[in-house]
Amino acid sequence: MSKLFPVQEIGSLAKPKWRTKGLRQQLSSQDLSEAEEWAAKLGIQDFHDRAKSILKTANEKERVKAILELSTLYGLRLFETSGVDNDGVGGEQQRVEMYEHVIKAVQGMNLLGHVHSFDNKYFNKGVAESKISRNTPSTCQNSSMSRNTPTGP
Amino acid sequence: MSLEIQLAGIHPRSEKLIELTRSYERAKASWSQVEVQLEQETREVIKLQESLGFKHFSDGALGWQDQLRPVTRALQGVESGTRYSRWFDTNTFYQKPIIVGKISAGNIDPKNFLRADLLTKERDRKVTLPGPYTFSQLSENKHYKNYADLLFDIATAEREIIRRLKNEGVTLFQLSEPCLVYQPYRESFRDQSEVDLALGAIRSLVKDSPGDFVVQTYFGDAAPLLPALLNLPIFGVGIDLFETDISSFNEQEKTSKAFVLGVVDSRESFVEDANWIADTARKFSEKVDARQLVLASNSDLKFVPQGIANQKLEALSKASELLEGSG
Repeated sequence: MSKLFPVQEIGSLAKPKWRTKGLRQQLSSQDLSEAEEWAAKLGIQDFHDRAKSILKTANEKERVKAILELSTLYGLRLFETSGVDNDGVGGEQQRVEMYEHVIKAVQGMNLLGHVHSFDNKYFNKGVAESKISRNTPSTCQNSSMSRNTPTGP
Repeated sequence: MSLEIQLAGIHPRSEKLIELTRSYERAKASWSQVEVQLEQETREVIKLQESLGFKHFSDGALGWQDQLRPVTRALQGVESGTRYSRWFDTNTFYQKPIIVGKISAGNIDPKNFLRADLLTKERDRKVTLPGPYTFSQLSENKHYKNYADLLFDIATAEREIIRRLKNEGVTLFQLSEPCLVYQPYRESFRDQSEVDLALGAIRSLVKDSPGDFVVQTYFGDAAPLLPALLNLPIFGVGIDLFETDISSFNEQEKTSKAFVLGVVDSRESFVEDANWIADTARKFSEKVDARQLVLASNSDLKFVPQGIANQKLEALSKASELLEGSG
């Protein structure tokens, strides 16, 4: 029987520092110390194997993929351990920015340039210039990464 | 009737400055590098105003992190934590001021408000500040039992900020009061007593030099409040022409006030046609006999990328030429 008041996640989780930094450059074991701390809290059993492979690889594509997977896993585990009834795609850890991610997948829309959101944060303003339609899937990659991520113990 | 064009708030940063501030956040650029670029772009915004025939000059407020921040930082009794709230119906945010004690003017550094060092030459300087009512409405009050006390203390503290900025040569202050015409997320809309309080706070703020102030409303219909706004002892009133129902204005309204016409939409990337702007302003002036018309954006242009904002200013300038040519 479905719940009368299901508890759901509704969007992005803040990205951990190691996720943001690791997409741009090689990480050190110190960079992953926060991830290690949270691995214990979230029950990420294979954290050390994953961390080792992230630190070892010189291949940028492999590193980015491994970091996005680990970050998604943390998001999913956080939702699971918090007791929410849907885990979504693990807090949209694969997205750079939520609007830009979708707009890039839409035909008929264009990105005009960055707008100041607050502090030193910005978003790329999209504009509909002609009839819009789906160009490429915007969530398949996220969903497939979430689907392929093992569930918690 | 005289005519001019003005900036109506924060101007957008360039892609170069944006990238540099992002690099700074990632510890890949120093703050001094950001400052050099900020200074260069501020000069460019001033130069743009010169080339477009502005009479009052703003520095573009490129360093402001949101519309309230410099005021928040200059007040005692106000803290800001990590809470951010949406700036009306835009995809931008502001750090919410938290009122934790009696408000008074604190450490006011004029450089946080205005790059007076870059606004060289003899010229009129303009600064945009949140009005006391809007500042109070967008804050979280944890101290005052009586709202009127909060409102009037903000007004008194802002007077001190204004006094300091006058020493920097500022001759025109835009008090932005969007909350007078649009109030997000409130259970009850303002009643007359609250409007009276808000206008009273503005009166107390401007009393030393009423001729130096414009009260700018935006994101809502100013028509219901217009008679009260025109009664304020100020130089001018700003209205958002995209939201204000001017058909409800009295026929042949005559006023000794200046009108700041928000005739380009700062939330819209479409660049308005100069002929359309001129035509709209002409129709307005046929209906309202104002002391002066100022063509401006309805609000901060920071809601669009810089290239578009600059095109909108160019359209305003061209419209102004068309109006003067036909006048």
